[in-house]
Amino acid sequence: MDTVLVLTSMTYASKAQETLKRKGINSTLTRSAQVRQIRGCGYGIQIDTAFAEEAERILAQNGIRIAGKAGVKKR
Amino acid sequence: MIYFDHAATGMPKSEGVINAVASAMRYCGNPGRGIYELSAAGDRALFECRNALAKHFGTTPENCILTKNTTEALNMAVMGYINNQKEKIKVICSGYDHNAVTRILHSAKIQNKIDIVYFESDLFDDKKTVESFKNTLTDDVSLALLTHASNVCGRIFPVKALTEIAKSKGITVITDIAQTAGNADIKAGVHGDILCLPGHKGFYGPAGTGAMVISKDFTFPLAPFSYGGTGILSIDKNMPEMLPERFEAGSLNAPAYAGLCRAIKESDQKDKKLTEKVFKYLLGELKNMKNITVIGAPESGTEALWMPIILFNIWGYDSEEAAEMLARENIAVRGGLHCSPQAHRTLGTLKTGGVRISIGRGNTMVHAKALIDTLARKVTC
Repeated sequence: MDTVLVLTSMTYASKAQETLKRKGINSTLTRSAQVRQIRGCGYGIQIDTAFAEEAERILAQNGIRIAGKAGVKKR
Repeated sequence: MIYFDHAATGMPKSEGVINAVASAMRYCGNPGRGIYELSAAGDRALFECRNALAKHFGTTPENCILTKNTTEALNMAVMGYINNQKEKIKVICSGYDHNAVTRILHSAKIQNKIDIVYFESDLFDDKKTVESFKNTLTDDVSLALLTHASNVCGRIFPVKALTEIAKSKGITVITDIAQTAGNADIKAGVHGDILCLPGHKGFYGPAGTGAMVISKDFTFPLAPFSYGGTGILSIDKNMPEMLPERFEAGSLNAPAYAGLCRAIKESDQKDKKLTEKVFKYLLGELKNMKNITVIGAPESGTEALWMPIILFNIWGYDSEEAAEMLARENIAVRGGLHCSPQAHRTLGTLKTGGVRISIGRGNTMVHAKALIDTLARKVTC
């Protein structure tokens, strides 16, 4: 299972990806249906659910707001 | 061609910048339109540029709004601030402003949105400038619009001290750093709440690039400047509230910003000693030349700072004619009013204009001597 963290914009999605990468968490960009439901066109980052909690904490520490999250099938 | 018009645009652009633009034109699609590789590459180019700006000016990437030039950034900042006020406000500004400031304020004034007060920027004494600023500030001033350096005579004004005073009184500061960005150590929050800058002058980035850089601590919600698609929140008819998308409607020029990113990184490594040497040599020579009057330049003993810009006039020549005469000798300078009638009025050259030499990357002592020799041959005999 993967988790999609929905970010408020492409800029924040890029910032989130970069921040998580520095901490060893890889992610991929997504504009999946889950993102669209929450933001009506936007960007999310998809990560392994095992790292989701840690990722949320890291993003919060770096002032990156998560607009929503959803579980999705692993790619 | 000997190029002495760096205040208009920095030349030459480096091969690194040219290659960054050319390469991005091959691999960048429209940013924010999907996660397919071409669009994602465009997104990365924009984000890397914001990151470079953020590191350089001490703020966050999302607070770096990409614009086409300083003028657009100033329009965004000033009108964004004024248009979100419930009542008419009072704005304070200096006597050395570019038309990019003067015309925005004039437009807001005739729409009855603002009143304007001017403080005196002293040409040689920063303390007098600070005193005038303090004495002109009244309780009803809510916005200060500062010019970091005059594009006409190069004088650098004490915006750090002025910002400190303004912020202590709760006044928002927007600073035009068109001439100093890339040439001086400037930080968002310290030199203004909002910095408006070009990418193509002191950074030597591509034409058609600039930025509005907002301090991390500045939270006033600016009104959007233009309206359209942002690639996010498409269902909402309002522009998004979050930065930078609030101000970036429509497709962005990702290749140009890839070039700007490269230019900022190169600029952080440049040594500017030669520029300073050429400036001092030219200033000394011009001041001693027959039939030439130097205007608004540093005098010995002054502690004030100048950008490497010299304004002068030649006896018997109109300033535009003098610039044309030098152009025919393959020397590029700029004559006239330099889009800054306010500064020329303050300097006493509104009727005549002036010939402006602006020194930058690539200028050498050989160039400087060639200019002096040409002037000596043409105007002093």
